[in-house]
Amino acid sequence: MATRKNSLRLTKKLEALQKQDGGTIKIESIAGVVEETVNAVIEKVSAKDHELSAELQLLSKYIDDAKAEISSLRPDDVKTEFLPSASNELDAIVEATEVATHEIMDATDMIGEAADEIGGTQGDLLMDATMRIYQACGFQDITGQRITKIVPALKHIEVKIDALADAFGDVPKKKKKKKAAPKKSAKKTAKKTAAKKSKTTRKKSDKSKVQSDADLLEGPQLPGDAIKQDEVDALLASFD
Amino acid sequence: MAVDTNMRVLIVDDYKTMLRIMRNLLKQLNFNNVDEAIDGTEALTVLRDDGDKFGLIISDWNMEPMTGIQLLREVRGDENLKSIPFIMVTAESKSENVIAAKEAGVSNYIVKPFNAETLKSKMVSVLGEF
Repeated sequence: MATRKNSLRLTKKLEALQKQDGGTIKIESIAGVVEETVNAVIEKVSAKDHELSAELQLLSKYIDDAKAEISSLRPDDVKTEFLPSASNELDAIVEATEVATHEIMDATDMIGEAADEIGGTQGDLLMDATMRIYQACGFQDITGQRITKIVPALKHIEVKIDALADAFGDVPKKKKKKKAAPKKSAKKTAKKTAAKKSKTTRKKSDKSKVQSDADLLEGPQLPGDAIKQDEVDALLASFD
Repeated sequence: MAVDTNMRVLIVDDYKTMLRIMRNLLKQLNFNNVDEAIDGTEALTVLRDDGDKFGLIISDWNMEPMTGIQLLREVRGDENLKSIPFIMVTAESKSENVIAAKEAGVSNYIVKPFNAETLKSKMVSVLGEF
């Protein structure tokens, strides 16, 4: 009889939580109910029940640990930082390989013209080689298509991560970063102010080591973020 | 009758690299009269402007907004264009794709990556010896 009463009480409690959480019950709410139930019955139970109680407490701890693990993964970071960054990097790969491929084909055209002038067996050999280079350049089309396919997969991961973050409700959100200046305007002014900027940067660097060595290891920059050779030259000249 | 290598050929692909490769390979085969389009919509405009002058269409499949298969269906459904040979050159290599293309009236189908020899043999099978 007491069991039936407890069961009804538990059902009502779960229904109330479901209503409160908008149709679903959050993991932490379930953990709370488990803990509450365990505490409520703990005084009335036999040795065997103590075993069950210990199991339930372990279960509760398992849920808490899982929640902490998910929190430490910082799903918000994955969504707002890593996935968009990966997408941009993939775009940059496609662009870079396209530029390089056209460079290769430009050079191949020059060899082809030389082959025409040389003529004879040597000219034919060179012409055959240029044809093979052209054919091989088809890799850019294939890799480009393959990379483009990855982007929807990343979007899918983003949706799943959203769902995961929602399920755990109180996963800490990352503080919003101060919005960076638009890339285009930065690009326009970069050239003119390169030397000025470099002096300021140097002064800052002298005062405090803001960036660690690890911070400087980011690999190739995306086109909009990278500085051009003339800006590098101006930066170096500012040291004179 | 020998094939006129001076015929106009329309190549359709959304990758500039592939357009350039195709143009170069066609040049090696002595087809120098080549027009380009970057998707099915643009190709259709070019074809409808002076469609009767084209002797061959070589098209990619995966393009936006109009794909190669949509272009093929449009071409085959257009009284003025339907007799133009149409070769699909694509990375889509599932049998379902080939079947769909065949049902839509494709003349031949080349899977990327391909070489000049393959291109020539498919063109010969569609146009005849040149």
